[in-house]
Amino acid sequence: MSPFEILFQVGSAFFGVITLAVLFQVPRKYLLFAGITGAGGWFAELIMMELTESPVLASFSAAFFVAVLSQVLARIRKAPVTVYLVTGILPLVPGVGMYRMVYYLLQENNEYASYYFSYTLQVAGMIALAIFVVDSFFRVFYRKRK
Amino acid sequence: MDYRLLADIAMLAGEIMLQGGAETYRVEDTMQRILNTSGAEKTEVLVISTALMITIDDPSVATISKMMRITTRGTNLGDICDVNALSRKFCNGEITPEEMYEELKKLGERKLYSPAVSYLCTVVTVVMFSMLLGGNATDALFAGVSALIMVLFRVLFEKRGLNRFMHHMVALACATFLLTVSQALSHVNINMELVVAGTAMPLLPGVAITNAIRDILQGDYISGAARVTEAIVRAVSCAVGIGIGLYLGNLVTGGVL
Repeated sequence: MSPFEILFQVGSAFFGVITLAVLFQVPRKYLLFAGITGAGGWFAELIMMELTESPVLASFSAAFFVAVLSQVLARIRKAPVTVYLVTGILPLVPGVGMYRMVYYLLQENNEYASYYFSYTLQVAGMIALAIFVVDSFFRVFYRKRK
Repeated sequence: MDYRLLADIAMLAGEIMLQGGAETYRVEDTMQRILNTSGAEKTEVLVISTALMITIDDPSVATISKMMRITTRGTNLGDICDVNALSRKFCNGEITPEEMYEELKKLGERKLYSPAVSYLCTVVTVVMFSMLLGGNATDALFAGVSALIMVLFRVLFEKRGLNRFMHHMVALACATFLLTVSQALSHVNINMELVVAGTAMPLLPGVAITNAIRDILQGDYISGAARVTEAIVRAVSCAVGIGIGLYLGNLVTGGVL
């Protein structure tokens, strides 16, 4: 993947997440940071895909990155974590995997269909796991500081 | 201290937050903080994803218990932010209970963005999402058209009270069907999977999944399980919609999938 393509996709993620945040009624002052979280997450996903070629690992790292960034931004900007987390996670949701699963199901190619079914579940599971891990750690550190 | 007003404030704050799609523990925490300002002997809050319950008990008054059923739930992160900020101010004693109640009432009625803006944003989101997945200019164009179909269905169904699952399923089926047909008719080669995935991604249950995890992590298993169920049903309704669209499109064009 060329640097230009990466830049283009990350840019799309930035604007896509901002408009999505508007759909979720995020106040104007948080829009820019929501966009940065989304773009950062997608950048992490692309880089990890290049390095490891494992979509599952890439999803985990990207979601991890988004979760950490959301927690930090939430502390700095004094907004609930959800504002950044929910919008930033959405580009990582395995939409293509789901499409392929349905597509192969209709083609009666059960082998591919079940492959993409488990792929979709794994990616979704990794995103969940990353949020889980980051949330737990931040909770521990935050409590200590109080 | 007017316990009755305080109970109303807590209920209203909880209602707005839960309807905006906040995590259950956050709603509980906010309501508890509001009730704690009363100094009553015993205050209890219970929130599950479909209902709110509070009790204020103090020797000086008769016990106040309130409960409310929450039927509509969407995603309104702005409301969650603002209730959060308001309750912080209220608990620090910066605003009076009366002011707080008025502010909350205003919150419940306001809209941050006009419908036109939100329709435009739907289109831009879908186009951007299909491009971030690796789509080119042609894909973006078709994604824009399919986004317009999604907007059309939103305008048609939103006020009619059709449930979200059916709404998403029908809208996605229609968009996928038209994409398949228009690809066959125009002989333009588009990346169907990117366009359809881009269209579906804003509908996929990202919010439900994230909140489910955070609820479960807090030990709110009932709410967590409810949200996991919601996520699964939403994902399935999207998948079924895409499936119906592909099948019908294939039937009409008679071509290979």
